[in-house]
Amino acid sequence: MLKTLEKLCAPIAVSGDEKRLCSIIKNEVEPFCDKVYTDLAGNLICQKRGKTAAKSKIMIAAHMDEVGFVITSVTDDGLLKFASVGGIDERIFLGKKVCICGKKELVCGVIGTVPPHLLSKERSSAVLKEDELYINIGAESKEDALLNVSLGDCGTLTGDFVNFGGGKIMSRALDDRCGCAVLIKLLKSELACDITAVFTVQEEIGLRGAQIAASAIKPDIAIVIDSTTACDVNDIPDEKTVCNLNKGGVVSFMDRGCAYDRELFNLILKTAEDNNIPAQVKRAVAGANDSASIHKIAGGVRTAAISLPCRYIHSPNSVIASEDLNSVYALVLALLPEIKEL
Amino acid sequence: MELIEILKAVCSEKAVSGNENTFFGALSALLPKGSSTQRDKIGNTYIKLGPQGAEHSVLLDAHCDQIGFVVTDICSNGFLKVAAVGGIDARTLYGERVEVFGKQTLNGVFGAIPPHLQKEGDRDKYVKTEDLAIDTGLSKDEVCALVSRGDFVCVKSNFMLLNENKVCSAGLDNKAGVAVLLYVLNKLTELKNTEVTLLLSVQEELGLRGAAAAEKAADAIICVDASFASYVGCPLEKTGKMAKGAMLGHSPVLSRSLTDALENIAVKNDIPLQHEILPDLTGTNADRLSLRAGGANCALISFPLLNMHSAVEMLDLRDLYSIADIIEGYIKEVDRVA
Repeated sequence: MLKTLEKLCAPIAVSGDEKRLCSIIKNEVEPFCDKVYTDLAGNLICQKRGKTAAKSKIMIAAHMDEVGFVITSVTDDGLLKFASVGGIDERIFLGKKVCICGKKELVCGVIGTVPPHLLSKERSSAVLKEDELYINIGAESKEDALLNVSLGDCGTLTGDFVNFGGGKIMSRALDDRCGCAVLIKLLKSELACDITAVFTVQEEIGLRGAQIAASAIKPDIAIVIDSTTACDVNDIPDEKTVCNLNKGGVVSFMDRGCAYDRELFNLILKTAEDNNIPAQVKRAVAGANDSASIHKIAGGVRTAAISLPCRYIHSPNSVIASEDLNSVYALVLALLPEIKEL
Repeated sequence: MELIEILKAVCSEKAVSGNENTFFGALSALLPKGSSTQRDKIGNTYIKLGPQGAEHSVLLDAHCDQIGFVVTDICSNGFLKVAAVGGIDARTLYGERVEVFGKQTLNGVFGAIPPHLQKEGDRDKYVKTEDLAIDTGLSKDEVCALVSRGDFVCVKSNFMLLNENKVCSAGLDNKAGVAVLLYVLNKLTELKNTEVTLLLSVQEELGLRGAAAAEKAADAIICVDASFASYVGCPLEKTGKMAKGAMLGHSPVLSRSLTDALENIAVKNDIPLQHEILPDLTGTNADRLSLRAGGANCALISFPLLNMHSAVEMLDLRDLYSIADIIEGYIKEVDRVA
């Protein structure tokens, strides 16, 4: 699954521009599915038969898009202005490398700074907001820059996929390439019942792809595999960590977007226990994922979320534990025989 | 060897101030034939070329250290606390990757705090270095086996060529100075009347300490270091323009005659040059090298650098070529006068 994850982290897929990732996933899963197609929004929908039909229609979703930015204008000096897509802490931008899906190829650049040596104390402590920052791609003029980049091009902060200490992985976009990697592995496995897997678009700008897909699919039961904040980091007391790396899939009872189906919630925890699969309950009512839009459509959908614990989410250096990928995969796989009769 | 190749090789050798010991050893392949090398007790390296005891002598200086961090403590959960070594732009550290030079090199990151744990107003100020900690993914026991207090840390920033001229890397201040002088040295293998010494000085970022300790005997001393490139919001008079050539320093501590001689070389040979007016000290090794007993003829040539003291320092190779051409031209002219 790590190989797949690395492959999925390579292309840039900022919300609304997921096509490069979509085609990679499509190639991965097509031989293992009965029907694979994209809808007009760009969601990738995969139908796969299991050993038996399920009583209910089961949808499993993971989102393809990642946070990033879009180029909004170019100065006469050839510097690029940008606006962020999805929630990024503005303090991260300064002094970072970026990668833009340019006209012909990827264009590298940096978000520059005036060095503190040349700033007054007040100016050097004030956080530079997005509209005060520029991307420098080394262009010498507006015309020069526009040879390689167009307005509307998307990009991300650079964050290569690397092995991290203690069996962990660091990369940008682990939210939610992790979920995509789990879903791909499920589609390559023998399943207990029929499912519809959806790789959704535009999660980071308001859970839009999931709504479009679920409205068409009309599932009875939905399982969302996303990534969620793990705050098991320095100085944070245990009761505030939300969830921890290496402790398995994070099962939510409630977050800012959804009060999850309690029977499913209990069933997931029981399945984990019965099968000795690590799992943990999310210890906060925080964040939201595609569940927020899915559970409210067409008379309602019984919805559950099983998430990958992820440190430094929405930064180019998010960190996950590879063991958690296996735990989430095993848990969803073991869950299918349990929910096919619901 | 091309300048870009030298620069890339030099940038790949990390040398946080106070930990430059391994730096020089990695450069031996870049030295010209016939050069000899000495070290002094503080760690400065002297690479000498040309006839010993020659009529003329020129000392070329570039500091080889770079800013970084030093590990001050290992927390109970394995996270590392660090202190800054030199004046890193602390605003850029939030969400920045690092390399920890322990018993082996570890990947690390100054992690960003998730929004639900941020207090109101947190996003209006940058996190101070002392409030940051490095995550290596390892537990305390695992970290302690590999990392000790006092180990050095650098921001992780791979050498990147943005186009044929623009280079981006951490540590270009002053690895680019080292690279350009090594490049020049390789063009000076035919010297008859001049002994050239390349001083790779240490601990500049800690307050010009290597230069203070260095042996400074030479008729002319030329320092090469990074200066500020102009950027949106920078005062123009304190910056040079990228791609407009070497920045020749003018300061009370610098020699007017040597500075004029360098300018003449540029004018005669159509080498791009801009002037950097420093009304006081230069803030570079030149301040210390010129303090030699009895005084010294010291000049300063800088290259405009963007984003100084961040992981994304950026320069234009053409400016490095200007510096190389001026210094090579000057030494060859001196050498012709027997």
